[in-house]
Amino acid sequence: MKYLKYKITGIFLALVVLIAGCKKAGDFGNTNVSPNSATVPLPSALLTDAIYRTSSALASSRSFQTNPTLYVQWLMQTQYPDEAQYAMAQIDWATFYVNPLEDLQKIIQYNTDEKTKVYAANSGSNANQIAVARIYKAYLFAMVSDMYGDIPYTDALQGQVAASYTPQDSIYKNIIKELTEAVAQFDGGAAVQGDILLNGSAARWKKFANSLRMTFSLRLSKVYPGASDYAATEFKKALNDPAGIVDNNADNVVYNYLSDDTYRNPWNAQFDGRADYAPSKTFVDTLLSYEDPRTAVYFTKNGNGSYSGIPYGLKRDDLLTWENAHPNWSLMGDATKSRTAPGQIITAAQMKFTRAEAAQLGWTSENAQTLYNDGIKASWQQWSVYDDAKYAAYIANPLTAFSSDPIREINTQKWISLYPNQQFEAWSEWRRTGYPKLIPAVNAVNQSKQIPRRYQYPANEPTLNGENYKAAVSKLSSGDTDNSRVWWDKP
Amino acid sequence: MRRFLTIFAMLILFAGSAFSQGKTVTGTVTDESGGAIPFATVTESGTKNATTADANGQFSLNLKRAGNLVISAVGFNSSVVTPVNGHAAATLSRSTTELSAVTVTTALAIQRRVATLPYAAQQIDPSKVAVPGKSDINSALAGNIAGVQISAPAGAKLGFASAIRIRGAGSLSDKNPLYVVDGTPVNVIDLNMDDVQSVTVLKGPNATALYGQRADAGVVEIVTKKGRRASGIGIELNSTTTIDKASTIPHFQNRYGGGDTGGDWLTYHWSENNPVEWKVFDGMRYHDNTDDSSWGPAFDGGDYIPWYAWYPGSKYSFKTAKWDPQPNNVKDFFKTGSTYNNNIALSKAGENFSTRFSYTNLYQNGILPNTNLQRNYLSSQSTVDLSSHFTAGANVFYTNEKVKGEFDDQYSNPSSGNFSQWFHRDLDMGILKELQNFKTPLGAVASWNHANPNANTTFNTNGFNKANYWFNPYFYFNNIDNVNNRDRLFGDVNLTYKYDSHFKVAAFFRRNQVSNNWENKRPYIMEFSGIQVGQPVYKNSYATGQTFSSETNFEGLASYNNHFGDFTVDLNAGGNIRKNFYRDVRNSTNGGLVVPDLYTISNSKSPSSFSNYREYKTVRSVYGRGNIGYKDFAFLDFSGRNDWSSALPADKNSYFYPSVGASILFSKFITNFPALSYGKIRGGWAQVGSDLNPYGLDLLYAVNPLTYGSNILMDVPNTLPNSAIMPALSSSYEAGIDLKFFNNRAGISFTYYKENKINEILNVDITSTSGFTKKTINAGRLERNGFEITLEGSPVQTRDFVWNSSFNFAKNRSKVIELTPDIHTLVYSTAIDGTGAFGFATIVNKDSGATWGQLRGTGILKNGNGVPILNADGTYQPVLNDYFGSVLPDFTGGFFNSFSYKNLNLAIGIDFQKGGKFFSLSEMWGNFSGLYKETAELNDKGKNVRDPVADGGGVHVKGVDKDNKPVDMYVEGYDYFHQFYFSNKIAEPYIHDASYIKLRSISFGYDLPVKKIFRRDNNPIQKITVSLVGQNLWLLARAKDNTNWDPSELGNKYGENGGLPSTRSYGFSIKLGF
Repeated sequence: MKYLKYKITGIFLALVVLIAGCKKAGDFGNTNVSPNSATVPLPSALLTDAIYRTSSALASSRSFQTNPTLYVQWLMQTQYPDEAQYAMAQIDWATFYVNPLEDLQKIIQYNTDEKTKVYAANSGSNANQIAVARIYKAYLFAMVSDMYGDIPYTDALQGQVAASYTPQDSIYKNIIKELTEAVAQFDGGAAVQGDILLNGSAARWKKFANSLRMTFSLRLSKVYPGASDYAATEFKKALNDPAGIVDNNADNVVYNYLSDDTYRNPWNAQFDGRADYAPSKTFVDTLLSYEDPRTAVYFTKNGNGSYSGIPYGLKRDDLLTWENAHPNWSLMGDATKSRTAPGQIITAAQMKFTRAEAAQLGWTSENAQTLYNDGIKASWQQWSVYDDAKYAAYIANPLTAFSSDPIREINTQKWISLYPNQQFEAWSEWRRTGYPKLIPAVNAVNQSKQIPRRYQYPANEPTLNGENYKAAVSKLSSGDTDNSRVWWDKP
Repeated sequence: MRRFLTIFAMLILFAGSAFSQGKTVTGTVTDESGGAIPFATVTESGTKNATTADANGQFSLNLKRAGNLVISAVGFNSSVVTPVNGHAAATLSRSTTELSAVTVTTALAIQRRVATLPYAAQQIDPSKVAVPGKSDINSALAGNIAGVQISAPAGAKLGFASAIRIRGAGSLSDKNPLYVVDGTPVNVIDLNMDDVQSVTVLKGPNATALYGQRADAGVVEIVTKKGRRASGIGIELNSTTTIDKASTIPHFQNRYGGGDTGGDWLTYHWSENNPVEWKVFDGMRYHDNTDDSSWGPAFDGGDYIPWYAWYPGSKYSFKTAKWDPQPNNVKDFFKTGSTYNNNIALSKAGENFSTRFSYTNLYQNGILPNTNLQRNYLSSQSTVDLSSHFTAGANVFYTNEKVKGEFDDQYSNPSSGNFSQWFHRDLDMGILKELQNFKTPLGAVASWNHANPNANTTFNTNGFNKANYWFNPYFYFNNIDNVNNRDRLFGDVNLTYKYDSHFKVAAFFRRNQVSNNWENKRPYIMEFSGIQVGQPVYKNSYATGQTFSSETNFEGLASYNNHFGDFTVDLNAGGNIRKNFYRDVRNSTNGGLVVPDLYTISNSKSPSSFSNYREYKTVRSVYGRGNIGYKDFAFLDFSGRNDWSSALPADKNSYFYPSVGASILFSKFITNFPALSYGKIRGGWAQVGSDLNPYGLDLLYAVNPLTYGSNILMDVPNTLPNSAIMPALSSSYEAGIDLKFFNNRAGISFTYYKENKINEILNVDITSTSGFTKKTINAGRLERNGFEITLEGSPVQTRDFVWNSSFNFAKNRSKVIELTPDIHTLVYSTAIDGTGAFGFATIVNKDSGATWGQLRGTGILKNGNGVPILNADGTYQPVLNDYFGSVLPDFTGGFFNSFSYKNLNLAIGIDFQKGGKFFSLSEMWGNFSGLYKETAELNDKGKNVRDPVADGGGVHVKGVDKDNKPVDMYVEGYDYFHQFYFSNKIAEPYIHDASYIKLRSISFGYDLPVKKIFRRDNNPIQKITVSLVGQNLWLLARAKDNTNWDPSELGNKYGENGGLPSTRSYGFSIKLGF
């Protein structure tokens, strides 16, 4: 019994020690503070990331880098013509929403929140940073919406587990409003840091914003055709904004690729070894027939010293037969795929053509023909192939002159000028105007056998955001297929 | 003080004199392997004078006469020993007729009697069930423990551990079990099977509650061999040599060769630009070398220009070959691998010490070229009694592993991803092997997949000289240079203070640390020899990295056991501090190397990539458990644990979870049914709690190491953390019955369990439109229930012949009841836009009662009667996001038999699984590429499916049209097999049933009659056993719709992406005991 006493005492003492220890058991000091990352981001570094991530998203998969170039028949696949035959797939948009869009959302949040805005102002005035983020967000959202139609917009980027799909007309109107407000928001304060696109220049951001407003307004030409309708009104307001628009090549908004592997031009990476794509016969023949000087920069000469494209839409065995019979074809030109070849986002040529079409539609009183000719000139100058004599001949050539069918001519020239980095703009404008006239792949494998008119929603949406997905799909004329038209795409 | 010492000295003298008078005897009771047998009864021969040994097998008895002792213990044969100098050491052999005293290792490495456990804990002795050699712990468990589903990596993947899933999926996140070696948590791969004494699988929370949710997928408790008393010098030598051969290879077609010409030949026309040597080929036929599929011309034995004949400089230059099938080309590629496992163990034990040293060398040559593994294991386990109260011990394990080679088994990998996805069926492996270093005129290494020659091709044409999409696979494997070096040190140092036979306290310091050092090199010749081959992956490059992780545990454990009248009490209380640390540094070159083949990071063409990361975590715990027995037939069991975790929010980082259970040995009361020799019912309820990974509470912004010019980049993380995360608590219960009949010749054990896992902490996929791909949440409710049956018996038991048999069967259903009010699905994804399997198949957990692990993908549109609705051209229409069923099997089990006749032993292990779905990406691409058998079979008209429909060929398709009118037609073979990828990636035809029955292992051993051979009493060799062993021998059966794959060796949870073949190994083993 004596021993038992010791034992009980021993156990009791042990328990006391344990319980005494427990008081502090829950105090871990800084153990859970990450040594690897910051809890507060540098907004300038988020902006650099957002701009870089846009370029990397556009290069992240065939869906974004090359599908639209195939749909508008700039390029053709050389070996596996799956997408050129419109193989159908659900396409994920996460590379846009997660980064860069969430980066921009956080820039706005950190510059708005009272607790963080003082620190955030080290990266430029709060107002300037917010304005830049809003403009860039508008640019990205319009591009994603053009791919799919209705997308989560109003509810998006909130860390929510379900997001309703905002109708595309609301998205467009809100984007145009955002762009308008953002232009007015620049406060003349400290320039935005980390801006690898426009180097913090408020003036250039305003021009970018106004140009986007005009581009997006014209996109609505089928749904708001009238000269005093919503689209024309917004178009004119942007055109007449005192801050100006992108009007000469010095104003062009371009992403500057660097020479190292990580930040190089994605076309350079695409063709580093592999050669899965080459200019299509449709595109090469058009430029050849126009005797277009851009031919020499857009394409390389083939082994025979001439330019030739691959017939668009052949299936694999036919492609092989053709390639065996025509062992040489042109590749993308060196100027378009060098490591540091710039990535165009908005160009003067594009804006001239945009204004030409608006004038032609009677939205403005500008001279459509002059703008058309200026657009050609600006594009040639952009690619450093401008020559007075050739230009004079070109705008007089019945094939390329502003004459019988201006909408066709303007949009065919726009199609040429957008090559190769504005693939989504080219696909959207083809869908809107039907120009240039393109013949669908003869061996199309999609259900409609027609050129796709939208992307199918991501595979995870029906699972993760099911109710909202269903509601959005119910509004599509042919369901969640590539044959349904987005809101602004009217026959 | 002086007085105390005097008394102490007197006591010692008294004790000494007591021994010399032979009145008190002390001793130990151990089993054959040296393990303590607790609670043995020690009776003085011919008297009623008796005592009970303690939990550690120690006893002390005052003798009335100086007689012998009769030692008996439940589950063991009794033994009579004669004390020598007041000491008696009894070694009892295991009895087949008494089982209630059998002990198993339970949580915290506590040895407990099975009778007292309220849950099922199945223990196996690996030497009895596992084939010697390369098998690891998990494969020893396959088929031997009810409810264990094994997923082994293909045998070609050296150094990759198999994984097991216990009782189906127990959590939404499908975790691996916790492995514990002698009390130290560790990765099991670094444990040598020759050092393993026993393995116990603790299955549900009832058994694992003491470990917390870290162990909610079950615990595999491993006890290693210890030094033991032996009459000899205690040396054991084990040597096993096995050879490994590729076994399960998909069924390929052997009627058509390579290319994509719709069966046509290409004809070569010599032109003046071409090399003059090619003039001999003018007008001859060749097949398409550029395309890497097998839709080429039919084999006819005629002459053609092979891929290698175009190049000068080989004995095949400018010579034609015969267009013949190569049915074994894939099989021929995989080498015969070999495994050499050599172990020496030295052990000794004395009155107050035991020690064991073991060294093992494992060397494996893989079935893939240029792959090998070397592993060295060193271990030592020692205990020493410092005094009658203090025992100190140390268990130290060191493993070094060096693995060389590449074992990629995903899409488009250079071996199986080549052969079973994109390949030419005409390729002669012998010639590929012969020409593996053959250089084209430009200095590149030639490949079968090069550009077709055309009118302009010369010996200097780049595309013609270099590999298009694929290297010669032998060239690839000989040049890829990946080396991984791993060092692991784990073990513990312990000190036990034994107050008396009832109470002791022990302190443990445990450590498990592993460091990895890896280097990957890509030589310049690979960059130079490829045109399109996976660029820029095969740029001349160098990458290296180091990782280090450690876990340190400081543990204290007090134990108390005693009898109070009819009651027995067994209590433990303890505390633990666990510290985890992880560190990772990596570097790689970008864009190639400036100086070719100079492997330093500073030689990078573009700025090099680098990263460093570290992580700290601490968990503090206190816990206790106890068992109260009444009259040795009723037992009440309970435990409680409180954890404090540094990873949880500071104000809510403490959580407590209890368990309670009971067991009753009812057979004690059943006397009118003599066939029943043992009967026990048991039941229990348990809760477990859990935390999360460190740094999971706040959004953290990392700096991208590669700056854009002078601008740094930071991005918003993809996972949205949750600063309000709560510790997870989940509860479960289980009940079971264990019965033995006919003096334990036959036995049955049955367990039913039901678990409700609630508030699990998960990173769930959310719509990416949120700006994040994942979110950390406390998720709803997972219910799993099922039952396990184990049957054991000795159908034949004679003097010379014994047949032991065991069969186990487990059925499990895991249902997702609810996630959160606004999240109803949990998607398994790995990449930001990747869903694995090329976007064909994804695993999704849906709530509202759906079975865990639904395979999702695009299906085939069907009408109400399940008949496909066809397009006008006979192709299928897609149904997006269709569900094909769960990846989990309906039931699993195993059947193990051992036969011994005199000195011969035969053991056969079979395991099986019914149900579960998987997706095969290889079949999808292989059919797309015309490689698999079905792409070149005869249709019901007797024509090949590749023949034009107009000529009676094509694939026969039945369905309905859009107006539901029956359609019966033929579709061109090429179009039929291409439609699945083209049309929204239809996965349905390539979803298969994962059922199988497998002959896992056979060993046939012979114990040499040592005494007869050596014919002298003092010969040092006491035992020689030679065995023939075989492992993974035969897939006895698989589902009808699965003709190509071994479902127990799939590389991914959803199936396979480019799976390597299974391997079959057989060999020879010899064991020597001195």
